[in-house]
Amino acid sequence: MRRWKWTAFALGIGLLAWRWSRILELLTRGSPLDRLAASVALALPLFAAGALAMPLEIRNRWVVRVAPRLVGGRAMTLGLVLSGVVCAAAVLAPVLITRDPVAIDLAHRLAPPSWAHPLGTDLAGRDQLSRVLHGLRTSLAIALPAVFIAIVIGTAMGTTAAFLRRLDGVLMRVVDVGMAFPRVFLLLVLFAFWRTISIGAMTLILGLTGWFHVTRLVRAEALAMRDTEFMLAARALGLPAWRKFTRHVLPNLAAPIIVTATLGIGNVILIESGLAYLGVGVSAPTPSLGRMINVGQTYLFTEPALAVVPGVTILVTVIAFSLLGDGLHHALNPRSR
Amino acid sequence: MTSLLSVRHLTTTFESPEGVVHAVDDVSFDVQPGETLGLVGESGCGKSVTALSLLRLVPQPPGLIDPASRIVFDGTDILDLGPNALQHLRGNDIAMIFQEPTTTLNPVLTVGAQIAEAIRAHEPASRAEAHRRTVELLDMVGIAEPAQRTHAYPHQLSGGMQQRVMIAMALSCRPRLLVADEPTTALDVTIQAQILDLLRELRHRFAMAMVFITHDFGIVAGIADRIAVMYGGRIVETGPTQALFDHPRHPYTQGLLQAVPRVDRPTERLAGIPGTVPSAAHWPAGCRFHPRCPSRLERCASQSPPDVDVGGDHRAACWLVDSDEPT
Repeated sequence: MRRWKWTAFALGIGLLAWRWSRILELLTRGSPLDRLAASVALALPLFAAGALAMPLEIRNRWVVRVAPRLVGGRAMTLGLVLSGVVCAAAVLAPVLITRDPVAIDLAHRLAPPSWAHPLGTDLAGRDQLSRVLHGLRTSLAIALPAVFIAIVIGTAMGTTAAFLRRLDGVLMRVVDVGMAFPRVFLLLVLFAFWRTISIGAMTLILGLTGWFHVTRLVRAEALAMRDTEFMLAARALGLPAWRKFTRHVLPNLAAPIIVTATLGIGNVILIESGLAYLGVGVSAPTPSLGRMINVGQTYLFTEPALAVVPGVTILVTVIAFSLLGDGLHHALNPRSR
Repeated sequence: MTSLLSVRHLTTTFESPEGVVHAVDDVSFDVQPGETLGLVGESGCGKSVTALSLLRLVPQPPGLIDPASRIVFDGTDILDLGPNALQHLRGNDIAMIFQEPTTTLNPVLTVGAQIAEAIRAHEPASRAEAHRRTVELLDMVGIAEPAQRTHAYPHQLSGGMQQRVMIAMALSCRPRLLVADEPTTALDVTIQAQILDLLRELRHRFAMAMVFITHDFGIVAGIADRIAVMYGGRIVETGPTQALFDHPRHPYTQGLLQAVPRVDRPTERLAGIPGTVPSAAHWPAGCRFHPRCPSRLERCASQSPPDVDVGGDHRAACWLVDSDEPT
């Protein structure tokens, strides 16, 4: 564990030294998201230093108990590192890359890689690296809150179905209908109503159409838990209903929910990119990986990097979250300890 | 002396594909304050369902406690209580410990958190106060280094320790009645003895009554003041421990006692009771024990025997006893 903390600390200090003026500039003059990125860059070494100095007494806390198991398997470690890098790249994009992803420079269209443009430029002379990082940022800005919405609704619905048996039938039929609908077509139909779609609307709709399988999973887990002896013992002790729920049910549901959420992030990124590729997605000029592939495929044989780089970015991101989800599944499952 | 717990005509049924199953059928017994009642019987005789019924923990549906039943605890009928009063009663006045400590503790919470929660469920104690009492309770149930152990998760403790934690949880609000459903069955013999010693000590310390359920006559002899023997969802014999051991009146009790290995009575082979407990969906007519009974009479197959007082608070439900034949 200590090696990881030192690495994070060193990287954080390195970033500060490398981009100090940029961070200050973003902090003073940037948009709220830019300020967030700059704050994260500032907080990173502080956080790592805090972790290094962490006293040993809190070792028995849940996070600290689980953490060492997370870095056990090789696939898990890779998933953790990859998703960490992907998230850091997305969050810190304005700090890492000073070039504006939407600044058009027709004099340097389709430039080859150079120091100024490490991945070259696109048809409008926009910096490709900056566009990929900001496209990733868009994807995660949609996927993370969308999954959060889906998980919150799914957990609420699933536990309701499991514990209020009267509502079970109705809720599960709603879920059946929701799952019987091919999600991508549903989204295509929904998005056909709008000419332009904001990130917020996209997130909300992806979240509101993504909770069906979460409900299924949570209901099944909660039903199994209803019949456990420790729930019987909790009843025998006369615990109030909400305490039984918050202290016994939710903590036991945490592991499957965390795993589903992690796997769900990759899934939502794929759907969002697929929709953008089909021309349905956040409106230009906001960079989007899916649309970059769409534009790039016309030049696939002359300028392959235009489509391949965003494609590989999607691939790596999705694999990272899949590995992370699988690893978490093994680390959190009591039977595989 | 008024009884602490008075159970009258308790009947608990379950809906099943085979029809309505009478798991507990017209059971009546009393528990005096501070007294330990041993409830003994084979698997499937209804003793666990009786225990669950006392706290209304039988899952409903498919279970149902017959509305004519009465479970009077300290003057109030538990079956008449509303949800809030019932919740107050559970853990506070009557607590329960179970057979399998490994599964009755929540695997993802520390034992300290679970005990503190039991305390705070019934009393407005602060976190610090609850923690202090948790350490006291762990110390009381004989767990070494109680302050450190509050941070342990159930899987880090042995079975005996887990059962001690369960007992600490059950006793956290000083209940007047403890229902112990085979609390030592899942444990090693040496640990069994320790847990029994602990329960005996705590019972005196808190002047607590106990309903102790077991299938083991050897265990019940050491802990119960009075014994009720169950067979086929009914109580077939009840009496003071000594009287029941010295002069068992019901053939089933006699059979069970002969099946207990004893050091002072070496035999080549332990006597067993032939046959098996019938299914609760198809109790035999008349006396439910008659198909396995070595001394059955003709009417045993058709008529249920009356509950006969044989003197000295000792009762048996058997036609042999009724006909006053020496057994």
